Amino acid sequence: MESRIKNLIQAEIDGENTSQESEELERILKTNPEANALFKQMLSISNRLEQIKADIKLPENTDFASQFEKNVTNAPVTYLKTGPKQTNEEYTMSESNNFFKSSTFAWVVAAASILILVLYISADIPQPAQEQVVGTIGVDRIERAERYRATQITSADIILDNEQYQQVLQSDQFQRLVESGELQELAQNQSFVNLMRDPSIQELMRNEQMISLISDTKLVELMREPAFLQLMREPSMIELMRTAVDDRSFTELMFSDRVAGIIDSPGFTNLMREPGFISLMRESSVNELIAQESFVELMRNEAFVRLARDASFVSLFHTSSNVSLMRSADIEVLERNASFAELMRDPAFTQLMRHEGFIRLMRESSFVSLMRSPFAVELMRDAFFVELLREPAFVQLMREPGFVELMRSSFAVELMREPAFIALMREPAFVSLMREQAFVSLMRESAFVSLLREPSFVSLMREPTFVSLMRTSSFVELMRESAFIQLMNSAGFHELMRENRFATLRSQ
Amino acid sequence: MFTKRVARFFFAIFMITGVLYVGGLTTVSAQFKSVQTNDLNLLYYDVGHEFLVNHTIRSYTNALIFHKSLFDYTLSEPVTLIMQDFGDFGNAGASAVPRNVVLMGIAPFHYAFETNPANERINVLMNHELVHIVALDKPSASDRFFRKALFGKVDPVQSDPVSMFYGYLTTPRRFSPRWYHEGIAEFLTTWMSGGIGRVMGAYDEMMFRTMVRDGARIYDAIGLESEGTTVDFEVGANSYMYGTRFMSYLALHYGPESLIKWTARSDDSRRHFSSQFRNVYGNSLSQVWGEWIEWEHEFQRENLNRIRTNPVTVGRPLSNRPLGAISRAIYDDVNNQIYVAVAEPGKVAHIAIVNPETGSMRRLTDLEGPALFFVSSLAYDAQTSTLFYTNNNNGWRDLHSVNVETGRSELRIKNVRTGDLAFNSADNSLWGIRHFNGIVSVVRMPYPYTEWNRIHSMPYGHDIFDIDVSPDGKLLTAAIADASGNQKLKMMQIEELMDGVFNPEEIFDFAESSPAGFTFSPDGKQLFGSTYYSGVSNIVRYDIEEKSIEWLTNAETGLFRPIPVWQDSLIAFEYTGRGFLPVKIPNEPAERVSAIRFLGQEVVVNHPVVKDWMLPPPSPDFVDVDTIVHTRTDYSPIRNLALNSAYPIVRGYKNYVAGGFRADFSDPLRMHKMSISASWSPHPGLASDEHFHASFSYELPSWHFFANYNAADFYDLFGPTKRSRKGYAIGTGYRANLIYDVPRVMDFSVTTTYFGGMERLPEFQNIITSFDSFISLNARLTYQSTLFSLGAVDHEKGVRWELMSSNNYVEQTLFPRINQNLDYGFALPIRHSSIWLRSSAGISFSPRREPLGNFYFGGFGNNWIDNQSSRRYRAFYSFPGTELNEVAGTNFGKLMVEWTLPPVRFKRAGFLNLYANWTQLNFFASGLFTNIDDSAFLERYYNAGAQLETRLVIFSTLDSMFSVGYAVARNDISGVYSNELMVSLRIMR
Repeated sequence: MESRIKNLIQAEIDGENTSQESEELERILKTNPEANALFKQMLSISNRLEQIKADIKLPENTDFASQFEKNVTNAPVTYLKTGPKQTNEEYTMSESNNFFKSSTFAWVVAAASILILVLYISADIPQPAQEQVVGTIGVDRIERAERYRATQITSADIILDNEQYQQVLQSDQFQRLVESGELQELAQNQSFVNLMRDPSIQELMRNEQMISLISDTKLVELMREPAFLQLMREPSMIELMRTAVDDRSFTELMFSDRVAGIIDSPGFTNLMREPGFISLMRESSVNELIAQESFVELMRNEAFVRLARDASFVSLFHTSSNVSLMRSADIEVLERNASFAELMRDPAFTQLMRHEGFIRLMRESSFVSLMRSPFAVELMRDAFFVELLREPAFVQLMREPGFVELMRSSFAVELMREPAFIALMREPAFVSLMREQAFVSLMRESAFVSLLREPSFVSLMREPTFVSLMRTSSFVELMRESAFIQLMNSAGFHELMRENRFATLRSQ
Repeated sequence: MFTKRVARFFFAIFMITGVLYVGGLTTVSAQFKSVQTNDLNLLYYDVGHEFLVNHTIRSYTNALIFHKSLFDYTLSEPVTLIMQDFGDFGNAGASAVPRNVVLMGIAPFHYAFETNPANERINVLMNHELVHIVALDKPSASDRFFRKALFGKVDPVQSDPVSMFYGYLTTPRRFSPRWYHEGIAEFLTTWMSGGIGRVMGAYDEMMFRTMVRDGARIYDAIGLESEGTTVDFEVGANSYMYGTRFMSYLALHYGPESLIKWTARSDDSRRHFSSQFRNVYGNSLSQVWGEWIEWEHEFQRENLNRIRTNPVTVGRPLSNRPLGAISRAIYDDVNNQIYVAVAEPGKVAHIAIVNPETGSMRRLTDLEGPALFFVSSLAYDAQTSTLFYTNNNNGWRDLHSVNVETGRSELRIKNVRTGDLAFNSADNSLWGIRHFNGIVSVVRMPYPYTEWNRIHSMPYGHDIFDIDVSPDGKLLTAAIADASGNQKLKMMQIEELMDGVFNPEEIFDFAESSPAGFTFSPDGKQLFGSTYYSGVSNIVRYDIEEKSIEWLTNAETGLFRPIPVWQDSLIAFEYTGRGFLPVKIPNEPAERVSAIRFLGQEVVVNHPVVKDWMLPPPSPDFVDVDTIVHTRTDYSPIRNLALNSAYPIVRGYKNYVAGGFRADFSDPLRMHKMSISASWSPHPGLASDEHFHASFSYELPSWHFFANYNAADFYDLFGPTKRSRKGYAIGTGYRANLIYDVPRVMDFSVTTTYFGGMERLPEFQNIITSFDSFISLNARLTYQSTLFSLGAVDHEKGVRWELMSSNNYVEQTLFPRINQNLDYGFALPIRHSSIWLRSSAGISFSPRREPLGNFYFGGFGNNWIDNQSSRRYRAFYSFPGTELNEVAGTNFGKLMVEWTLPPVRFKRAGFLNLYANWTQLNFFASGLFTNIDDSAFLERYYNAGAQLETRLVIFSTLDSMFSVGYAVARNDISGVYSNELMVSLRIMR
């Protein structure tokens, strides 16, 4: 509790408050339960003392303190007999002293006890009425000098502005930062100075949470990073700070360990110059991301930095699935994959990442899953992959686990390079076939590629009978037969597939 | 011709002003921020100080409201208040001339010997400094008239001494002694703070009680200024103590309101402070001062009798004499010696080793920048015999160490800003208290003591000081003060501190008394310290296990800084009029200790009106900053440049008198200063183009620009040296501090000037030129590291080196010269007496026949009335005993030996308006060789002489020097003797 409140309470009890102070205390008591409790306690004690005083007839000499001293400290040693037989026998401290009459002695003991209690409660009140404490006998045999001292101001009267920042300024880490000269350089950056003058930033700086963040020694350590200082000089960063004032999660993010881990990456400062990335940083989902160590590692990657400059890439983060990807442990696998790293450096891949289709694909969880495949890197690097991306059917297929499973194999790369594959992909039957494990296994056969190259294959896929045939276990054997290929290309085979009878026959 | 030259002159001014305008806007404006109310212009330069801005405005406004009412004062202009953190300890200064300015240091006060109050300091400083502003600035009707007539308050300047009189007419109370100003400020500050302050000060009581006990002289008003503020170890602080005491005496006997009548300037008041004293009190100041001294003797005799009602503690002295001001002392039980930093008049401050058996002392190492009361902070590592100490104790402290065996010292951390050192032998770390941005922090310096780590920072207004670490390294004790001025002895667990937990346990609440210098006993079971609890500083012992406190002494004067050395006794320092004396006292409880009476208590009991002078808290409830602040902006010196004053002047031109006018401009911070003067010599003997004289100067912190036309000089009216010159000059200069680490200072300056229409050399008045225009480029590099002791009148030891280059370019020919001076001095065992060896050598790279190619020497160089250094005989170009510029040469070597005798101080020599401080005799002898490279032109001179210097004080504040010198010179080639008598009065410092 503030000392000033305690003083007000005590002065109120003593009737020393002005009307303004009494009103102020009344307001405080309404809102401060602790103060209210103390007030009631002290009032109760005071009332009891008043009651006791009324019962005690004081001597004519009103110098109570000196009388008390004389009678208590200098009187012969006395004692109070105890036990049932002595209930009514009392020995006064001094028989000749009328003050301690037998009828009032018990009251005096009670009063003394309460007085001690009052003194005990008041012990931490800084400035009780000074005139009452001077000139008394102090410790042991030591006389205390009389020195007038009025009730003093307290810390509560001293209202400072953002004193909490001093906790940062006083630290040795911060001082070393200052001595390095980097901070001065920053302070000379007009953009930074303007930022600090911005009312919204100043408002932010008054926020307790923000102060608490800034007071953290981690920030001081962060500020010692030249890269952080460089970052703070970036107009875009300043703009970001200005607009993100109300976003507590953002401010927490900015002063997090994670950011401290990112900022010394060579490209990060460049990244902060990109409006797209700034926009990205405002995404709440990104905040979650940055909490992931793997993502932080990714942000250290220069290629990623290049990528992140793209607005379309930024749009990826509008979906939770991509964020999930980035949050997943898989990203770490990717990071450790040398090919992926190489891929990230490949301009073509960067180009790919900007592709609308890829962005659509990235929203598919199955594709995200595919990214874990070691062959995925090779796949995505291939030019034909871009062609595939143009096909809406490809995206649809990516929703099929079987297709995704297929894509994980090295064979998939070869398969997808086949021009006919795109045509095949467009066939609705193909999509339904991909749901069948047997067909997926079939596609893994090298003969399937040969089959795919046959001009009639795609058109046959439109025939339900052929599709049914493909589902049979014997189709694998058939597929390997050159005679079957020849047969398949014959006009009669097409006719045959259209015949219901063939279908009936096959089913028998 | 005349018109053309004048036009050139003003064109130059125009150009320079233009350069300045741009320079001023681009270089300086961003450094200071300005927050303005109608009554205040608060300037600060560090964002780290911003947290105090609003509180300072509230404290200022709170104090101003009170002063306006008490003094019936109307502020003539807003006060410019500059917040700064240039030193580790809080202080402030105020001036009302030419503008109202307060310079406030935000650092915490030091509390050594309880010489400063412990309550919230900005409040205290505002209360105090605004008394100065009111006492200086409040005008009477006549003051207002002269301020209007002279366009402001005139600040006396050396170049035009007539300004002294204008200064007296516009701000007469500025010409009052320091005790007067500090006395009223301390008196009022005490009551404005509700009884906390010097009027209630235990140190002040001790000082006067000791003087009475010892039969020492209590100075009269003149003696105080002429001798009292210089001869004892309290030096300038005596102005505060005497002033407050005298004011308190007057308040007690004539009422506190009488002080207001005396110190407040009003229409019916007398101009001079002593005349107004008689007006108010009906007696002369000297007479009432004498009455006070008599009363003081009686008052202190009564106090001594009170103390003597119980057995008085008498210690056995452990040194042959008092040590002056002392630091915390350390006892080395291995070598049986005491280490203590001492500062006493007549000896350069140093760390002394005291042998407690014999009382003998020896110097371990010199201290640079000792503090007045606590000198330095010490801590000791017994294992490595390393003593840690702080230098530059009045600025930003540096941490040094010295090996007590070898005496080898080492700088550990520059600008550590930390003191109150304590060594933790458990982990060999050094602990201390750091002051920065007005905040106090506990810091720890691990081995090898080259960096520090903050352990805990206190909230503003809470101070921690006088720390000690227990022998086992587990506990740290400290005195902790809060904003109310309460001071408690507290103890902390070091392990908790290291974990970031600040949870001190209270040991004892000493209320308004400071728990001073508490230190652990060798077994760590007890603490020993001192307190003024009874009004007298006595030694107390605290038993940590028993949690009990015992008073060990009943001292007559005061005992401080105990060192528990032996089981049955300890070392403490007893206050005496000549400083602190180490004594051995028994380690036993005192029977009883009686309290003394305080003069301040008598004042408040007899005149309870002073209770009403306490201010309300400077809280937002009383002063709403948001409603009174109207501007927050960057401070621009050039935009704040304004006319300070303008007044008539008289100057000399050659042998004629010139009359004219001078105008001075500056910004409130005085970062930019501009002066313009113009005068006219009507004498018909002058050529038509020599009647008019003008000069212009503009000074920035590093740059200065100037222009003269037929330069006139006041001092040419008196004496042989002439500085007025025909012709015009326009130039610029730059100066910079390359090193500023007092006492080590290195300055660099360069000045270039174009001279036109000249007939004599600007530097050498007796050398006529054959050309009328040339360009000069002069550069100077100076290094100085000199020390002086308390009460010194001059530097007493050290080294000074100067390298100068003078280059003149005339008619496509360059005349370069270079010379250097090297001075070395050492102190003699006699107080304030030194021997200095001064040497000079130079060479010119020009033909001997060319006037500009030579160095010239001769004479003392002082004018009868002068404004330059009075000890001009030390300059390389001076050679007393010969004529001015009599000796010449293209190269030279000069060697001087000088003996400065101790100054003789006057206890009373003069009157309140004119008195002598001291007089000092200096002897010198020198030899000068010129044209050493050519025996045909070789000149050899020797001289010997003496100069008697007498410091005079005019109008209480204007220091002047009256000098009489005599020298005999011998031309060793011709064998001719010559002599010279010099009499000179240098006006103002």
